[in-house]
Amino acid sequence: MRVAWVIARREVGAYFSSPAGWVVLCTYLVLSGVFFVSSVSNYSYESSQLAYSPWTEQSLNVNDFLVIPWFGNMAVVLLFLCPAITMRLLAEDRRSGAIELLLTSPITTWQIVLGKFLGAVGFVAVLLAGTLPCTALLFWLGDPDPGVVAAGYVTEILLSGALLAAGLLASAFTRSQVTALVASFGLVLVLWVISWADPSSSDTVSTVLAAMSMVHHLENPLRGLLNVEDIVYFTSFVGVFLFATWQRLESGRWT
Amino acid sequence: MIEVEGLTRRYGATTAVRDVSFQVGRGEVVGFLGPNGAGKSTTMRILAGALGATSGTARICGHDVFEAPREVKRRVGYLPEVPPLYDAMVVRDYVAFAARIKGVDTVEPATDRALEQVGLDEVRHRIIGHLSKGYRQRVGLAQALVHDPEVLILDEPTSGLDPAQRVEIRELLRSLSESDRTVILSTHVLAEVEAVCQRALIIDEGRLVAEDTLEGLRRGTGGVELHVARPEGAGEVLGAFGAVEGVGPGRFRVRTETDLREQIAAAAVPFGLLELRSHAALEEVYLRLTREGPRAEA
Repeated sequence: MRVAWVIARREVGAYFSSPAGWVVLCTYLVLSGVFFVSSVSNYSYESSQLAYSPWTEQSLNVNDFLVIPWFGNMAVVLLFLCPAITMRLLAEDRRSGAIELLLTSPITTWQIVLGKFLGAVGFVAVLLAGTLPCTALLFWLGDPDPGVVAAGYVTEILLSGALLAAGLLASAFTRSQVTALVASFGLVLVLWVISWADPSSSDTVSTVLAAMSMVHHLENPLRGLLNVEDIVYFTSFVGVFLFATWQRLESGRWT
Repeated sequence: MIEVEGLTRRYGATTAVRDVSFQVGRGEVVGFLGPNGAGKSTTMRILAGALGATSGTARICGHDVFEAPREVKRRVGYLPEVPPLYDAMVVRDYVAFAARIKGVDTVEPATDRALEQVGLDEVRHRIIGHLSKGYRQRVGLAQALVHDPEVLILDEPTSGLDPAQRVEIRELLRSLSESDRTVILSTHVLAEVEAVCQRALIIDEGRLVAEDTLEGLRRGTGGVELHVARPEGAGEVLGAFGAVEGVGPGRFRVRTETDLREQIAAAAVPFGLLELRSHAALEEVYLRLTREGPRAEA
């Protein structure tokens, strides 16, 4: 674990010593800021409309109309940015030959995989930390449910974990970062929209497809309902992709 | 120290290394020679633990490379053909990172020692991507040395360097070999082998074709080449020292078992000796053993 931590720290440092890392950081912060502003103005518009109707007035709250849509939008931003975060992880090392340093050090392949993964998660944690001023503003000016906000951040981390693990796997297959980017984006997009493949709501196929879809598993946690089913969904994705990455690196030594 | 037995490595249908066996003793400096694509890098990568083998065994310091890779890697410093560098990192941070993942207990002193050993002190705070090729090679060496390994495996440590850098790295290798380290280095510069190695392994098309000390390899191929002004009768006189062949007007090559330069010179003076030099024997051995020989002569 200590070695994985050393590798993870180097990875986080690498993001901040490359222009690509700063571009991703800025893009994320600008987009989450834009979505924050649009959620706030949307919320104020809704409240001015609903102020005249006493029945719907109590249904209007900052959680449903501001916090949840904002976290939903940030999840979509992560869907687009995570492949850009993971594309260099292994592809770049393989292209430059730096992977040889890792492969010939007295560490296990698991430590390499875990270190790379935790480095990417660490970088996303920095991105999410960048949105804390917006959240602080909400608590200062409004009265959001702390549980919903906390669940929102946990969901973003869970989602990024799955997206990053998928991206790491794609990055293990190629020396080209562009190939890794496109492959991982394709992979996560398929997982995102897989439930759309069969819109009928009754039969087993669509139930299975819905159960596999990321969108489906984001609904409840983003509303503050963090249940075991969704946590297991995302963590098992992480497990499967990390295992596949490990397999890929191990078999790379033998074939 | 290093025992390799029947090592074979296939990539799909092509066999990069076939049935290679050799041993290297403690403190020995061994040159690994062969044309490009002969299997040098593959063999070295297997020994360093970056690659698996199709069959065969390899033991380093008594530990099996495939059964106990971490034990082996702790004792081996490896410099690949392309140094495994992170261009965006500062030299010192990179070497410290290497020390950490190699399990060095005292990272700071080990890093400073490695930097000093390879002469990187003045560039320790520079970014690796901004360094010249010679310095990059040294950073790669620092990485291989940082955990004070018993065995060094260096894949073409001087390729792509200018002559001055080449000499510097060669000096460095010589100083490293004095500290009781076992070193295997691959190269296709024969002068390098003659300068630093005690023994050479020659590999061609994945097969080990020769394994001997430099003297042993030269045996039977040593001799002198000379140029005389009046060649009439010179052939018979020189024939007393060894087999003589004419290699041009007034030029002879004499094969000798031992160093007879002085005697041959004295015998050649009456014929108007213009030039005498010892024959580059290792080159001839190399060309004869690897398949480039016949092609080059044809």
